Amino acid sequence: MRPVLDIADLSIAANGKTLLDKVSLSIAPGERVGLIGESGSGKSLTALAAIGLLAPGLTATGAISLDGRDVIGASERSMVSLRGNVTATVFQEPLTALDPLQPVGRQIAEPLRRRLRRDGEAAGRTDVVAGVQDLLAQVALPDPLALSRRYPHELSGGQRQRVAIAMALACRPQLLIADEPTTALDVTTQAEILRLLAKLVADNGMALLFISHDLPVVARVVDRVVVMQHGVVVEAGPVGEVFSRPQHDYTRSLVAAARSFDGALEGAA
Amino acid sequence: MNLLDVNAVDFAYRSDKPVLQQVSFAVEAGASLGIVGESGSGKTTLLRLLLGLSQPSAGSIALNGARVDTRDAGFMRSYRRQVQAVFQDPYSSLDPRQNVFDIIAEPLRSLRVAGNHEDMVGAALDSVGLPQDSLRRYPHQFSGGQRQRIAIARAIVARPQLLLADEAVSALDLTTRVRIVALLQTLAQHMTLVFVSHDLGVVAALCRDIIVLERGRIVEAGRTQDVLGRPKHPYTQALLASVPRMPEGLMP
Repeated sequence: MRPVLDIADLSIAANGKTLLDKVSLSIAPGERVGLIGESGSGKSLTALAAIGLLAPGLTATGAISLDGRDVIGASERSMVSLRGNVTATVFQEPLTALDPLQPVGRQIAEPLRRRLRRDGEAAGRTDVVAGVQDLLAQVALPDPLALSRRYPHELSGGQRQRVAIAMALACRPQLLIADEPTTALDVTTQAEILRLLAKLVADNGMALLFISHDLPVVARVVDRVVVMQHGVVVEAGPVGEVFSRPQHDYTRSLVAAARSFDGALEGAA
Repeated sequence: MNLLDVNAVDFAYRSDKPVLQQVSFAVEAGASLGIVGESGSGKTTLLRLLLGLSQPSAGSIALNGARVDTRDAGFMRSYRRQVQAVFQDPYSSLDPRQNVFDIIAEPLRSLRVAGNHEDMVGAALDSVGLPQDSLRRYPHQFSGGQRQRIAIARAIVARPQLLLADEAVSALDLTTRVRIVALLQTLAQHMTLVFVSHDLGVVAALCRDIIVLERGRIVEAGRTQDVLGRPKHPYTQALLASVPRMPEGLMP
């Protein structure tokens, strides 16, 4: 089966400085992959490159294909449709990802209307309103009608992230990219959002690229992990295998660090 | 006598919305206390009261038996000498225009601490594991973990009795977090530590005692081992159940 995202030997440089060095990463339809690394490892840069959102001044070499279509060198016009049709992204901070001046219902309606037109479905006012209610219900937000009229500042962090996920779902993407989607949330809210993401990805048959520095969080939602350090992929494999028998020194230090806090909790128990 | 006594403290920014209600706890000299809770639990407000930035609406806070009164400038100067803090974000808590020596020496100057400041700054730098040639450099030349070490050096340079840490490792990468927690563990052997955090794993690694705050009230308190080992309150149980753990498997 053709991968939904295929990155081969991707290198990115800025002013002669190498930021990514021959990164390769492939995600099959429906597959859930975690991209792990610390600040400056290049994990977010890899994701931005995958959806053609590199800052000007960065030069990319290698190949990226989304659903079989080339991303490097593609026009912005063709990228806009690829982004909506093939991928959708949920970012870390839902407050900055949402427009503070629009009710959240209208923000979900925008990608939904485009998707309905794309698929040749009815996109009249009542269809869109019904679709928005349905999406809000899918992300388990109570009282969707009242909620759709509220503004981002009136919602809690967890509710905002659910709205951002609803916007991503509105596109019916083949690949959902989630960049540290729970890092800014409280731990109980984080647990709810992770459960929700896992369920939605399974129900909709989407592939998932989950970017995080938090190993136990990644372990909850993915099948396979790719570990990055200083712009290089140092290790990749099934999550259970990599976390229980890490081969690379860097992965070993990450796993040991994560287990040390687990250990402190177990010691308390 | 306890180093810190918090007695039936209430606090509200608006009279109809209490943020802290009947909060009482004590910290013995040399102990380490973790204050855990989620957004809106009141932990940041409690920290502001402990820093002497606000006065409780009711109840009292006492250090070595002396009641904290934010209007008493003389008392507050000696209080600040005894109580220092480390904050979450090492990028915004250091003045970018000051070199590391001036940053670390700042409490010595503002609190008019007697003695050789160069020696004291040098000793503080040693205890946080930074090389002496750091002193003439500026914050932007350091990584996040190194900056947090600078912030810790500044907090301990005047030899306070109580170190308050507000989510002091939350913004750090995992491997850096482990190293800063180890540093705080070492420092906690010689001073009293109050560590405010949402991260139960870090608190379990660092603090002998724990209080759990939910919506402005203490719902559970005691030895960390007992509270996290056998949580009684449903909120503590929910918090613990939500902490993501590494999958079971062979140890590396």
